[in-house]
Amino acid sequence: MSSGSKRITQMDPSRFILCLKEFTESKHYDLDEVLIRRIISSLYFSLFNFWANKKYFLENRRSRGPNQDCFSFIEFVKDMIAEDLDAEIKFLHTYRIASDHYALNPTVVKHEGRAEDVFGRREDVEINKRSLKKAINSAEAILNVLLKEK
Amino acid sequence: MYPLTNFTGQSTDSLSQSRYVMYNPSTPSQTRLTVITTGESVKIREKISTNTVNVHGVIGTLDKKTIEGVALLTTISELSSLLTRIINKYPELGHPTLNVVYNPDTSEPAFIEIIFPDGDWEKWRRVVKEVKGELRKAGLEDLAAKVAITCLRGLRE
Repeated sequence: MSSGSKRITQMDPSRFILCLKEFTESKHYDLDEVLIRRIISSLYFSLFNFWANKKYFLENRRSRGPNQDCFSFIEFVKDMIAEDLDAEIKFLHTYRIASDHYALNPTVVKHEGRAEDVFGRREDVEINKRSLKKAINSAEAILNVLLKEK
Repeated sequence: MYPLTNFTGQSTDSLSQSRYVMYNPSTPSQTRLTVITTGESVKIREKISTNTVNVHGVIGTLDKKTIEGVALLTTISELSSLLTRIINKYPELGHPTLNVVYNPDTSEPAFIEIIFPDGDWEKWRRVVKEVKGELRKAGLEDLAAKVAITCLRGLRE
């Protein structure tokens, strides 16, 4: 196994996502908001890290940083849209921003960037049991596509 | 509801046909517009307004920068046909708006977002699969990869 393949295997979030799913199901998704926010955020980043490693080692794609390994979220989102995962990535992307950057709940997320350049502009978001369940389902759908990619 | 028709007046029932809805005989080559002057963007809007009332309400009101962004990703005619198709097939999703999303690192347009006010989570996922499946069947893989469909109700609830 090449070092690139080994690295991709190391970053495969399958077990992590399964653990989170089993944990949340065992609690019937009845978790406090701190935990829900951390789960949504970690789901997104586990997939983003996996995707970035696949792009770097399998496609030799390069980006910013000294090692050219710092990819932008929009590249990740764009790739998932190309895989017809519009709903799943939009949901996870928006709720990840709400979970990490916004104090209020519910709140209105305004994506970063110039007003006319943002992904969906302003979104009403509420972090709760329902959004946690949708986040896990979305993460599984994205993971399935990433695992199928050669 | 506005029926899809091509310029010969025939009804079209798939994207492979409806992509020609906006085809203008006076400009037979659908070349990619990379630089659009204000006059040209006005002409595009006028062309759209005379051909499809529905799409005019979406594209016809866009500012020059957004039209430029759209033109860098796809042809206005392909996007118009796609919008006409979706609006006619899924009227329950409401009237869409368009947004061009840029890559902050390169400042290049990354993809076009078609945003509908309605459509719950399951409907949203189904519409994406159906529309993009049709696009791929019609040989428009490139367009499918560059367009994101969003249903705000599905995102919210």
